Amino acid sequence: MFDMTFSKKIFFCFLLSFIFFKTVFLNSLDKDFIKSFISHYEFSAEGRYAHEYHPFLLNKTAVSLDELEEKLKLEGLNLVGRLIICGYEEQAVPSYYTDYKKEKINDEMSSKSNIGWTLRLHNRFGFMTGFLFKDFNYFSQFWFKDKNSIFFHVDPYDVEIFDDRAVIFHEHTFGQALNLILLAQKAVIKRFKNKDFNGIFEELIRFWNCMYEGKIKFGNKQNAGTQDIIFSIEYAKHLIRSSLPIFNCYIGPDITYPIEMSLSQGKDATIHAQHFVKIFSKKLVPLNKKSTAYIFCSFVDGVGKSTLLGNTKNYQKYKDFIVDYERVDNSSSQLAEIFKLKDDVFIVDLPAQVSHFTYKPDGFVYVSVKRELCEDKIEELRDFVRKNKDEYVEKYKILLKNVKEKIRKEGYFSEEQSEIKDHELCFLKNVLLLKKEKINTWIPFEYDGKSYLFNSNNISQIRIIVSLGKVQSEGLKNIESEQMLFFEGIYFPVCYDFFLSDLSEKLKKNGVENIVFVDFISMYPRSSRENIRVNYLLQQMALLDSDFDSKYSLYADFVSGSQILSLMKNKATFSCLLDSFNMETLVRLILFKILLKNEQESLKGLSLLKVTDLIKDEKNKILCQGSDYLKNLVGKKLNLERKNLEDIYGLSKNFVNIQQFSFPNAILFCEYINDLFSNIVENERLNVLWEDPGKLINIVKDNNNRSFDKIFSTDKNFSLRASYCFDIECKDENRLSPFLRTLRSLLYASLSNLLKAQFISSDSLLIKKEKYFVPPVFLKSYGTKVYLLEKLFDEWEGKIGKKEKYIEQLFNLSKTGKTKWAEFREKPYRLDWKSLGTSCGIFAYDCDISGFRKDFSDKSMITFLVQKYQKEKGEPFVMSTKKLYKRLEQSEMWKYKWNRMVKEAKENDQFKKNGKIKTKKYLKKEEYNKKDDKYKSKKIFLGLPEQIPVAQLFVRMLATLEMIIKDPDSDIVIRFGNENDFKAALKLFEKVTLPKYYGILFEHDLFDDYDYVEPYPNWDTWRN
Amino acid sequence: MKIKNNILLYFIFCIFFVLSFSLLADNDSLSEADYEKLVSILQEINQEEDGEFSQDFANLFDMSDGNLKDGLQEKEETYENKFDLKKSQYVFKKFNEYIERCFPKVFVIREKFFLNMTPEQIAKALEGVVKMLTFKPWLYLEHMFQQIEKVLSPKELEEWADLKYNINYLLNYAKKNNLDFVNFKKWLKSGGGFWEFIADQLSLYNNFIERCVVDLKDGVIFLEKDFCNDRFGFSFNEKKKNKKNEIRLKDYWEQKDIKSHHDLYALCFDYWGKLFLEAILIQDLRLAFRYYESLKKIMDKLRDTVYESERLEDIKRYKELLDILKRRECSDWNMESEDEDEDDKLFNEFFEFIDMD
Repeated sequence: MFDMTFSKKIFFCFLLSFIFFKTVFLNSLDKDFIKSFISHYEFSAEGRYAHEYHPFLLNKTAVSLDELEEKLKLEGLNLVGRLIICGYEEQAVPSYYTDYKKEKINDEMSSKSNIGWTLRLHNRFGFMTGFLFKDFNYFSQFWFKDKNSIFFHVDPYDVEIFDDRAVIFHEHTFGQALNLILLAQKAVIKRFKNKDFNGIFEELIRFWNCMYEGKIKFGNKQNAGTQDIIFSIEYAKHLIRSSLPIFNCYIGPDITYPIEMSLSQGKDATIHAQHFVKIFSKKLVPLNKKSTAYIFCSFVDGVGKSTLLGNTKNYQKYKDFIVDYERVDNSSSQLAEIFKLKDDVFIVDLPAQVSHFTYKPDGFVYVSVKRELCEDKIEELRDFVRKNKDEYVEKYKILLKNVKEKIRKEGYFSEEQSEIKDHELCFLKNVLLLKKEKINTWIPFEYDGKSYLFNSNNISQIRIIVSLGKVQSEGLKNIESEQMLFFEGIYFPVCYDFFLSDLSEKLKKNGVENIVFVDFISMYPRSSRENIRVNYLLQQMALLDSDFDSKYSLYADFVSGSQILSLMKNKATFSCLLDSFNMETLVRLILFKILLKNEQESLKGLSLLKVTDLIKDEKNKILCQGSDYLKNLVGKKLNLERKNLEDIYGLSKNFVNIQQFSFPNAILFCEYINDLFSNIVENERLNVLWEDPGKLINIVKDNNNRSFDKIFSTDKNFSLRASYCFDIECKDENRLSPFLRTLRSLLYASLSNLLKAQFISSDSLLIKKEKYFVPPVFLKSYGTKVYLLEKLFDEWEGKIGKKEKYIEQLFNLSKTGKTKWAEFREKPYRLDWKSLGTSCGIFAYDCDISGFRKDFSDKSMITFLVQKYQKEKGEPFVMSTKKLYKRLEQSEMWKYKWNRMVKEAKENDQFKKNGKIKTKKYLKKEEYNKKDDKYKSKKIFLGLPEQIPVAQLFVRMLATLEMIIKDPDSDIVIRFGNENDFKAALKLFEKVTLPKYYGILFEHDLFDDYDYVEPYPNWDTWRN
Repeated sequence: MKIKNNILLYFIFCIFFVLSFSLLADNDSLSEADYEKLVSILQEINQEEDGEFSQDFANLFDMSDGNLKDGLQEKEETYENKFDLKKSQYVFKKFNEYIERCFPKVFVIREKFFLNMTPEQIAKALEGVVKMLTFKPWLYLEHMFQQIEKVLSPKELEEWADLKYNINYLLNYAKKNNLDFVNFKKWLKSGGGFWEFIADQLSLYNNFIERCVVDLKDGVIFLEKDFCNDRFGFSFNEKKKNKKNEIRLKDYWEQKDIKSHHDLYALCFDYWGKLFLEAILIQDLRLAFRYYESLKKIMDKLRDTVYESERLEDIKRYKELLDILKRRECSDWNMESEDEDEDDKLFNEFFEFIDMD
């Protein structure tokens, strides 16, 4: 090598650099696509169905309608004008007044998981656009008395939120977008008054741009303008560019929804569509006595073109007899479809413009029988399932095992597997492919030659297989990907020129002379057509990568933004998200490249197997060329989004108090408490009470994540009552809340007994007598389940004194109903620990942000500081103890109050040396004012020197408890693992909670150096 | 406000009572002697109801001891062990006649009908009651219906009847006829705050379901004596008594896949939701909070029903509305300036402190 001639060296260098450049750089199309896709990718749950709508495809789509107009002009057709249809989704902002019997459109899917119900994804910007036009009909009466006002709003009075007086609802619904809406509304009305109709679209463009670019949030913190808004902007630009006059523009809620009746959709649900089809049908007339074609066109899918065509056909045929209306066909064709409505009137249904630049998977889906069958048939099916449930569940298990074995041997792509057209087997294959074996509750069965699924957890839920072309929208929106079977393969569009020629040929053939464009600029959720794409992509990615798990992808069933943040803050799941995002970008790019290569004139789809092979080939090529560019962009994007989410949700109560809650940590902390009271504390009663009952045995599987009432045995022969059961990964705020509150109030009360202790040595405490009679509580796991357990006692037969009732007030316990008391060694123990809230009073350093406990205590400094903080933030964000203590230290009022407390404590002197609290004699006088039964502040005394080690342990325990188990509504938090927060919390407990609720004040700091104070037992325990 | 409400409701009750009494008196066609006896019992019980309506309506959904009359437990003894199928069929048949003629009133229905029916019959009867309360709630208050009749034309009345007496029809009517929406609502409500009235009735049905126990041995239905209402809360129970032959009515229904009571809870949610939103609109934070707490309890009962997911979204929105109201309650205050001395700081801070209330 060293003997090479100079020319050879040059050649070699050249060769190396060629290889280097070839590997580092992708071609410019790839780069443009990747950049466009990644930079516009929305990480929010609401962006789930908008990912396909990025500028790269928009650029391709944008000019296509202009080309269409040009082509038709060139063909000698007379372009007369346009009708515009701008529908929006009424349920994007459901009525605040619930009505369980009201018939409404309810086809957005939501599923239940450990974290809660997944978000129903709505189109908010469409609704907001509708809001801008809400008063147009009213103004038309004055400004367009005898003229066509062009703009007409269908049924605006039926939308509750359009009422001008619902101010507080506006504030809540629109959040920070409200000001923008009000400004835009004024501007639009002004243009309307001046008859500047193009100006209205200019205002809309401005409005939509502000929403998208400014990342304006809706009241619920979700993005108001998802990325598909850019297609609306471009459509408005097209309308402004076009010289054709606008005949009419119709705005209204769900005006192009399929009109049909089924068990789950009554007549009233589609009332607006029924009104609109009548209005619209009247408009479909031959213009200038010449044969006229109304061309239905749009930029995006799911705006109701085929639906309006179907509704119009039905209206023409059946008029108001809705019961007879036929199912609307939604199998959008790749080519234009022409339909003769009446003499000289044609409707031409075009595919969405964007579909000329993207793929379309097709096949079958399982949908609720309520959409497809009559009541009698459903009842028949239910009876059948009831009788044969067990048999089918067993059969399912065996079949699943067999399919699994086959896949293990032959893979997903064996000839036999890939050619499966059996619905049941294909469903099972998908269950395994998407790793849903453990969570799937849907069991396949056949009845009368048709394939069905029933939900083994609720057998009244039955689904039937229907083709995607014929299914009602609920089927298109089925988010359970495994229930979508892509038998028909993936369709790629024909080339655009071929499409245009085909269209003009069809028009000429039918003798059409006039053309009216019907532009669908409606803004509905993208969920129907996009959901099919997403389901396909999930299956495709799983086929390409056996490690792919949708649970850790950006298509997981998200309940809230804080859940996404939680995934992104965890190293392992962050890495999974990174990989899945990387893969998604690649797959989308490759599909686009296949589309470009396959510009064809045939309408045949490619099988999933064929597409997978093509993707694999292309993927290898791209990876050979180098994927650094892609990886860099993906990495940067993920970090940027993590930061954005942190800003939005990082201090939200749901994220800090719920998403970061960990059952393993809570179990460990409870074990330390058990150990403390059963081994470290010297008190026989407590030792017996808290004795470890041992491990749970013989537990029968049950529905989890709820309160229940079961008796379990342990290996030490104890019988325990389980009152709550959760999956260890449960993060469902609604279900966790009562459990967390109960646990916290019990632990606070138990730990309060420590203040009666005498410190004997570093590992021993003496409690002569309990002050608070609190039953022990055990948190134990069994497999993936966690149980809250209590020991069983005899019922207390005696009377309950006032002193015992005092705990009800102190620990904010529920006062309704008849309280149960148990007897343990001749003392009454309160059994009902249902708390009204553990985010105020003793549990929150005397904070009571809601102010509902005013009868218990007056507003505190802490409440004031937290209120002030939240006012500054404009959101009910949590405040860290570090921030709170800093502000407290700076507060002049607090300094004044502290000095007063010290003075009072000095006046009251110390606790009595024998450990009995001097306050005893004051209890009757002070705590219960007989006149109004209001609790007054506890008398404050100076703490004794011998109380210091006990108080130190007490505040450490409470601070640890606050760090591990928070109330879902806590306003003040110790962030997990945050030393500064922990230190500040120690001080807050010492300076606020101890004097206020326990009457003990230490004039000097409890600890010499707070930096060395650790949670119980130490930092290492919690960090590992 | 509370006293005014109570007086108003008491007044409504009186009208209602007179009307229902006259309706009962007109029931000449009910010839069977047993049924006449029943009617006389109903009249007696109607008189007992007087005191029930003067309770604090903010606490409607609390099934606290105050809501439960000791008398009920005494009555329960009367019906225990007297249950037979023939009687239950007769009572069930008469029940349908009863709700056709008189608007369902919970005490009567509970004491005189439900406790003499099988669990399946109760479910069916409850369905009828809920349907009645859903579609024709204002029929409860006859005089109010008459007022509406005066406003609407015969054609409009017909339309309204076609729409199953949906309240939205009336609200839309107000809007379309440029009647002041707020005043119209007030007018509707002035008929007697019927929302509260129905909400109260609903809570008592709920209470019945919670307390009702089925003896599997002989099918007798009875009300649990030592009732602890917080079944969804956490409670350490005493050692389990041997109650193998008894099952709660709710659990019995669950086993038999009967779901009539789900609609009752959904209807409860609707009514408490209305009350909550009214409290929000009049910006009464304390009242709104109390209704919100009740809504949470109802939500617990809607778990694992078809209504769960939607109502969870609703209750989340209600919580957010409460937060907005809370923030509104804090009036504006000036931020402290950097260069003020300590006395000024204390002074400003004090006024901020006061303002926040």
